[in-house]
Amino acid sequence: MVTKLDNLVDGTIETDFLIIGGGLVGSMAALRAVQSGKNIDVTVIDKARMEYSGDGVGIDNFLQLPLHKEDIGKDVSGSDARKATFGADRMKGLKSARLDAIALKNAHISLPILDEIGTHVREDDGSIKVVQGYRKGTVWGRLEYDENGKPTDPLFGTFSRGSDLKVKLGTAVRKKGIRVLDRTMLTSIITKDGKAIGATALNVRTGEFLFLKARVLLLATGAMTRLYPYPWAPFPNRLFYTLMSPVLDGGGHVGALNAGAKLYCMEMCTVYVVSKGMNHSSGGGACNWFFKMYNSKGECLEDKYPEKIVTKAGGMIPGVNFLFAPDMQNAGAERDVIMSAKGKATPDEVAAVYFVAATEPPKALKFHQLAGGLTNENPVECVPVLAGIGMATGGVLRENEYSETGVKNLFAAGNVTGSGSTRGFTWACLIADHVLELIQDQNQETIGRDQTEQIGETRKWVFAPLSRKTAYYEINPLELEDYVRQVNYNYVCIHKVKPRLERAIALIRLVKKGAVPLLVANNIHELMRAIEVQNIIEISELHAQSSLIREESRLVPIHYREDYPELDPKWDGKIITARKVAGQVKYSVESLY
Amino acid sequence: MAEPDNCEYCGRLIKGASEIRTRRGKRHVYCSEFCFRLHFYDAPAISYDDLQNMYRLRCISLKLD
Repeated sequence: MVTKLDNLVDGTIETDFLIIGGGLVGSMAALRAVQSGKNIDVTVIDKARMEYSGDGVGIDNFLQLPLHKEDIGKDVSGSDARKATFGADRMKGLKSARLDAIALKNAHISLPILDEIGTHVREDDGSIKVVQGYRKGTVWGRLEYDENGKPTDPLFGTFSRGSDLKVKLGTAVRKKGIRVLDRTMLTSIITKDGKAIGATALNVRTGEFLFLKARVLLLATGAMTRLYPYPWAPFPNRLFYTLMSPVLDGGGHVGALNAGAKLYCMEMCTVYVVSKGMNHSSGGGACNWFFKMYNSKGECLEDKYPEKIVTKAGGMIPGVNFLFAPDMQNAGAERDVIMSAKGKATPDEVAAVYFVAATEPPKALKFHQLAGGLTNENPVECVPVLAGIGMATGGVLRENEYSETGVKNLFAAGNVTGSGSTRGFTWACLIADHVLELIQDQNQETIGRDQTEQIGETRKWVFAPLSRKTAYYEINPLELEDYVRQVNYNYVCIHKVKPRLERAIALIRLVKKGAVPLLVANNIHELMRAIEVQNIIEISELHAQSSLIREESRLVPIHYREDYPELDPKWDGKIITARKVAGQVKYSVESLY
Repeated sequence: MAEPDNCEYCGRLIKGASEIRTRRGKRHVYCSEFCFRLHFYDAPAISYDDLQNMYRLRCISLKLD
């Protein structure tokens, strides 16, 4: 017997455009959709609070501009497109150059909205100050000058202005009268004949279980950053000292996977280098453009390893990851204790770092303060942090030029797509424009027996841990999360090797079978944690399994296999995708070219 | 009491809406949340001259309109 929908949910909301995640991308898409003046009903759900949520607070990489000034707005394709997307050469087909070329052409599409809501992106004279990087082959990064004092082959990326951006965007969304559901987390995406028709969500304060029926959905849930523990903080703080927002449990990824979308490059985990006393910032991707790094003997790493790894640290894609690259041919580099020293920086470098640091999530700044503060003058050791999936590459695969996933009417943008935050704004605007056209001839789908069953299954799964009675033992969601993240740290981590990866997969499967059925939540907050840990377990398995399949090293240390330490050209342009078929995850190797 | 004209952190003239925060009962006025945050975390102030110097050395100006 099928239960009636009304008995399964505490409320149903019908909307035209459902945006899942109210970060920078979600807010921008919502504003763009309503500012068109067309009659469209937009709903945004956010697990935290709209004004302060999201893994980006400032503009940082969200508005990156291409190569040379004269290239802005040009059509680019093929190898030019790969060049134009910063670092794409290094990516060698891990990212879609076709999609990046589209975004590149529309790089400044979001500026009118940013102007309208009064962000501080522009200077008083209306100009945008753009930081210059340089490029040498596939390496790009900190600005250098030639003998005539001119910048070497400059690239452009916008400077990290607009750190008040998230608050202003969130406030603007509310002022426009857009329906915003705070403290509401995605629990599943409901499909009908391979088409997304809505989502279920849980209010993490009240426990209300909602069904949001929508014509079109945008997944903007950000990266997945709760894959590894933060090693320098005690439990349970280490679970939430992430460089990005601590809410990023991968719920969007898992929702998309369960709905039938493909995830890709889940083996690629962004690695940052962070100095314990600030100096060298973390989340503010551009900080590393300004500071030179030294080893403990005071040797400048840039000079010591001119061609390799350390330094030439290039801003946004891929992160700061050259800095701590394990290198089998150059073991000395790895043994060097990397230090950053504010004392050796010039005043303009110091100013630049403060400037960029302020665009980090508040938590990161707080951490810097706890660790010695922004004023620390002494050299401090840098440590690698595994930040998670999605900042550089990996996430929900977009399968057409509208940034649509394999599930019809389910679009994705921002870090959840693994495109990095770069061009998040651009895609938010492009998707919103497309959605406006799409809903003209798109009717609300009717809810059939199959959909009611999906909602019923989700409800059963969501509330299962609440006040569960177990015969022997109860498992706390945070303790389980800590265990799973420790498994990832001990068995996957930076130095991946086959036997350890296999052990990680075995342990994660054991957890799924043995521990998840014993999860107990005593209240709605713990219930949220229980859902999150199940998402984390799901992503952990994908991460370990994909790492095992990719038998090469690429973008070290984003993916480094000790047993296959070299980049293998046969993997150029190949991505590992994961898709759920009849409840089982199937992996395949595909080409993005 | 009249609001101060300048941001407590960066010292620049407040042109738009000011950011008003209360910390431990004391009222502070900033030009943006950006300045509040830097002040809150005790970041040394960047002077306007420092900023201009940084721009001069590291940035170029783009006009996109």
